[in-house]
Amino acid sequence: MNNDEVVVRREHATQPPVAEEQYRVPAADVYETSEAFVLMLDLPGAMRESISLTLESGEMRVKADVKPLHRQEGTLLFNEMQGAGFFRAFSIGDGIDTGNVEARFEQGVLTVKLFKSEDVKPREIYIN
Amino acid sequence: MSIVRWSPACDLATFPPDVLNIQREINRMFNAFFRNEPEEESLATAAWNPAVDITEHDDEYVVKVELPGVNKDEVKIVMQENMLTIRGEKKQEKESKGSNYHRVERSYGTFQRSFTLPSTVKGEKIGASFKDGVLSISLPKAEEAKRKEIEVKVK
Repeated sequence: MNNDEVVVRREHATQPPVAEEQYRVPAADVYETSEAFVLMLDLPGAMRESISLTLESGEMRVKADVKPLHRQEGTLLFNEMQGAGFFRAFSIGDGIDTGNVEARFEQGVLTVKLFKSEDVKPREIYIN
Repeated sequence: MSIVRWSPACDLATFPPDVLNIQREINRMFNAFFRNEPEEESLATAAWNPAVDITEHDDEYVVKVELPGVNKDEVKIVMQENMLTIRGEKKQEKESKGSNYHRVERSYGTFQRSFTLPSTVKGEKIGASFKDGVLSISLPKAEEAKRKEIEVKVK
């Protein structure tokens, strides 16, 4: 959907989406360096204190709540944002040092660095 | 030999299907199609479109744009008569260049959205704040556009 210009009219006001227990799936980029696996998740509008990141039995779960989008008394003229929180689970294989995980939340993006356990890091083997 | 076996089915099984979102998207697409808007030729090509919400209050419009991972300096907000344009660029993080990508779902590159608002706004009083990846633009309505209660006395 690529409207280059949208004319916003009052008669097209809609009801805001009901968030409640619904969650949406955040977009994720996953890449690998020699040191770690890095996941970057888009969590726009998430409340930092509500972000929960758990690593259990080979699965990593990310959950976050968002701030309420709009003041109650307004009329929603154009609606694309979903008011729901975020939830996503990833399966994590072996080779991750589960005690060594770094996470930071900046500009609405959660970056999780899962460091590889020593034995799976690439090692140079010298030939005599 | 891969260290983490990526199985597409694995993480699909562990979250609730957002069927409702698809329904909402389709509803919206139908509504937009039947509004009889003349299609404008897009002169600017944008790589991606951020989600936008527009609310109207008695004294102002509030436009919110989802721009996670975008720098404040990479966003340009322009107001021309009634038309508000938000454009910019989301750049790829430097530290990830040259890495081995397993999955790319997030959008990068240039974006642009334009909206014509129902009434005029006070250009010089437009304010914008950017927090946690959500850009919030408040546009105070021009005096004559404000909804005012006028009491009419019946003789």
